[in-house]
Amino acid sequence: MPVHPLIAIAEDDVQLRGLLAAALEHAGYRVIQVGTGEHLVAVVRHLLEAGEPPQLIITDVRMPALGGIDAAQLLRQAGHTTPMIFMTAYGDAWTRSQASALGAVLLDKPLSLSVLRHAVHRALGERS
Amino acid sequence: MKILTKYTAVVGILFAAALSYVTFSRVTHLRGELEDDMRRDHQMVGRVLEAAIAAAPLDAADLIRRANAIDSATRLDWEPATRTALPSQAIEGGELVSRFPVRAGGAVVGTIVARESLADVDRVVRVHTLLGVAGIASILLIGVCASLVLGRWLIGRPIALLVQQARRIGRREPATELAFRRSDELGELAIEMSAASQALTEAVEQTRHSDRLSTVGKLAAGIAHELGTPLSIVAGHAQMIAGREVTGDAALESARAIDREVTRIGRIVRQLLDFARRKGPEGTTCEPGDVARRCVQLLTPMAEHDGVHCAIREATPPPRALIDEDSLQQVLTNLIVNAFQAMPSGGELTVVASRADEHVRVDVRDSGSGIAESVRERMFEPFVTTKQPGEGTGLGLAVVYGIVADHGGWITVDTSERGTTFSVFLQEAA
Repeated sequence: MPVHPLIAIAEDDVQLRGLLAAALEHAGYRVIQVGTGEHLVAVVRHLLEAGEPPQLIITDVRMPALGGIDAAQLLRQAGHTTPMIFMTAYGDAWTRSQASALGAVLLDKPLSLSVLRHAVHRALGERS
Repeated sequence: MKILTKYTAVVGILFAAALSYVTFSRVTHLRGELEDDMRRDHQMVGRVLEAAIAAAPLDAADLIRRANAIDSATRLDWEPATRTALPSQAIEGGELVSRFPVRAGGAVVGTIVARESLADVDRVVRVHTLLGVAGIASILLIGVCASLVLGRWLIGRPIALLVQQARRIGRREPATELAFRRSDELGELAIEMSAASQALTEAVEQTRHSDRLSTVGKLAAGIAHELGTPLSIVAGHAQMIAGREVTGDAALESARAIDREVTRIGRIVRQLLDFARRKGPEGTTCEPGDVARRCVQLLTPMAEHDGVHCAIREATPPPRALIDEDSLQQVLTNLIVNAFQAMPSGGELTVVASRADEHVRVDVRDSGSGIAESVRERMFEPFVTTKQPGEGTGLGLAVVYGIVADHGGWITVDTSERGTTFSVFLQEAA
């Protein structure tokens, strides 16, 4: 386990993505940012091949083309067990059940940074 | 009517076979009867002559000659000194030949030979055969004609009506009225068809209703998503300032980010109000060709900037649609602007106003590179956009869809790498 855990963030809004990355980096994590579900899948695969898989994936649910849940399903099907945090502004029953089935934590938007930090801490804590 | 032809042919062949068998049996039986008659005649003549000759054997030749003078059809001969002991009858070379040996004083003195041509029998048989064949032919002709005419009336016409109804159902047109009323199987089928169409129409209505309900849900999801992101940014920056995670210039930058996001939230709310404020049908009508010309005129500067050439075609007489000008202008402007954006390096925009069945059809065609498969299914949903976040709200096509649906119409999309055509179908003004 590296000293600074690596977190992959997928969020299509560049402002929010930057803010989340800044907040997490401020808390001592290393962050890789991507803007789409496709990029998330590609980056996680690449990191795994490079021998340095992320310890946590944070993804927006609704993104153009491949959404967060679809991307997460692809990763789970490929055998990735990385903990995941989903962010959504519209956490309906379906989204909650999908998150639960994928073993992910679901956070509601508007997002509170303290809630996010707490969730990240727990996700990584449960893991280690 | 292939079934009717096949059915008639099969029944016709079976009938022809049965009638031919009956005719053949009758003619064969008739021939037998005629021959038997002839045999009996010969026997009678033979017996009479036999008795006469037996009484006066020496006059045999004279008796035969006189008998021949009486009957012209049967030719008689006297053959003296033949050894035939038993009478016989046989057909030899198209003649019935009967031989009657005559005994006098215990010994055969000669034979009476009676010959009669069978030509008359043959002729009668031929005539009956011909009559039989003519009878079969006329029965078949009448039968086939009656079967075709009756079949067309009993089967062909109702089936054609049912086929028409099925085609209308296939085209999703209302076809709930009964095609015809009858108490047979086809009548039952007609009742079932119109019931099926009724059920289908109701199901489509329900789907439309639930589509509308889910559109509200999708709209809510879209609003939540659109506002959730900037609100997260505002909250995040505010928390970072409050928690002194950012200070000095960084805090100033956070404050500016909050201001930017609040402006973004304001813009989204304004556009949502526009979306909600759209008008329903008012019963007014307009000519899509006219409206398209006005839209293109208004958008000419944009077209020139993008290097797009615009053309408008219209059916004659120009179709008139049941929609007010403002609503149609909003629909066409959205579609035309989208078309321009699909052709960033120039191209051809064509608007065609025509009639399709009982509807007015307006095609907006671009020569762009088509719509990505991933967005095709969802492109009429609110907040679905191919543009970068912040560039478009993704409400344009949702507005178009809503206006057209509110006026009882629908939209179809045909897209390939050679371009995209949005076809708007509206009710035609009476």
